Amino acid sequence: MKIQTNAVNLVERTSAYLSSGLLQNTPAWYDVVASIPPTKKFTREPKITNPTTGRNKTFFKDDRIRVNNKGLYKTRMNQMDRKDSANNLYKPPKLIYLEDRLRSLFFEQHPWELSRPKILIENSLEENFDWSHIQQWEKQLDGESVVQRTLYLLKNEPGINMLQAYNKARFEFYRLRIQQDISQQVAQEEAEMFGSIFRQTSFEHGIEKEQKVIEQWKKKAIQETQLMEVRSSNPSDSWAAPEEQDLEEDFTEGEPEILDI
Amino acid sequence: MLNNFTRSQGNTNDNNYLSLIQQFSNTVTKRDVVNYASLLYNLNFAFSSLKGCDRELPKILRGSESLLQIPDFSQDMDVAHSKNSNNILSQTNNDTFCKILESSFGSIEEFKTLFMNSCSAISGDGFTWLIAKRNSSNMMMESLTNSKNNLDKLFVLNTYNAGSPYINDRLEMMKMLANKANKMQEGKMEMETDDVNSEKVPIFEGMMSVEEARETHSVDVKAQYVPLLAIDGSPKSWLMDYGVFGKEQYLNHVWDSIDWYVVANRLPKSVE
Repeated sequence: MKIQTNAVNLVERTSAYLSSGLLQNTPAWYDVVASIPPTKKFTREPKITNPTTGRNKTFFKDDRIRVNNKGLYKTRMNQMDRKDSANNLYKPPKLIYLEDRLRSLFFEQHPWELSRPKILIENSLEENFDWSHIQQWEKQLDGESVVQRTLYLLKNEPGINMLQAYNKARFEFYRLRIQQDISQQVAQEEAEMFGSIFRQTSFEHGIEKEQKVIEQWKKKAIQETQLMEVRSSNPSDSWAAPEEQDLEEDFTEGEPEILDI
Repeated sequence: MLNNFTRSQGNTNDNNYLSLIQQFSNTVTKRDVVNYASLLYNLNFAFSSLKGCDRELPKILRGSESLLQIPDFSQDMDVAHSKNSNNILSQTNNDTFCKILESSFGSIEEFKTLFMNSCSAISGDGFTWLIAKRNSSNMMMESLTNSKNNLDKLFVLNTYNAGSPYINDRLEMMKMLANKANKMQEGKMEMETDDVNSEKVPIFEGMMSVEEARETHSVDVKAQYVPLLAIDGSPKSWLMDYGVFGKEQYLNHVWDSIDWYVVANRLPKSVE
């Protein structure tokens, strides 16, 4: 099969059209695609070394020295071990970041930190923070602060290991979090003592709205269950209600027309 | 009027202020006197538990960068392990005081964190107090049995402006205010819409925290609250010496200057 080049040469063709006058206006995507052109190399090249570990992938891994998961030593290679899969060489290696491990550890230990509201759209945010202190002007204190502070400590403090750096960052975080919580609480208390009355929070508002619907539903549900009970029971029983019994004693049972009058 | 009062009393004694506060706290027309008396009493009380420390004189911190400072952990270690000269246990020689602190707050570190943060969070004028609760109703019983199950707790309390720790019916007052406002609001609602069927929604959701406080730590009317320690968190006490960003530093200095011996001696006997 012939190598397909039409899609890849899109920018070249468009610029040719533009210069010849076939196209009047430059398309919106033109500059973007020109600055990041599509790749034109279609041959798959084997990646011999793993860039994250620096290990040679073609190196034959000899497991005979280690105890396997059954607690036994392997003395002889089996079929699978001897098979050299070339497929592996073409796979892109996994990207492994230290930050990700720290993040997962932190949020595993502090799951409620995830429930704090977070601003997702920050178009004009400067990401170059100075992590020599954990608090930042333009960023609220959260798990990410701990992660970044840990990395800073690892890089800049001599003789500190991973766990020590993480713990240091974590304790700084705790301290500031406690401070924030107490100051919020005290501010509320202070305001209430001076006589201020707050509006509902959005949660309370939501619960209140929900409660109204639930109450209506409850009424309806009670009615319907009563109806169901009536239907399922004996029709002659249902008309002989206990309080009506004395009054309508004279009437023959099972004749609803009379009771309706 | 406060001057007249004190002049007539001869000397300005703390107890005079206290009796003034307790006598007139519910009188509207004497409110200003009570405020001044309360402020004076609080200030005297706060100063009486200080003794000075060997720290350097404060430098005025300039620039808002000081707000970003990393928390200092070196002191906490000193609180926990008896290295500091101003260690609570070594100063007081009072084992019970430390034990009560630990049983009330978990540990001395936790107490310090709560106490200092409560004080630093006061945005206006105010004092942070360490108070002990004493069940006066059970006093007789205890003197008879001397049982341990009457051991009461210590609390951290904030008073704002000229608030006094001796006025215990704060929650009652809050409730009264809330009821008043509720009635007004309900009246308004009825004026606006004559909708009888509409259910009356509790309007004061903001009061929930105080309501919750009432439910969880209901203020025992019979109980007596005895202040042990006070710190002045008002800006006028630290602004001149420590600068706009120096409250943290001020509080640390105050913590080091607390005379724990005096504080521990204020602990009512029934608690021990």
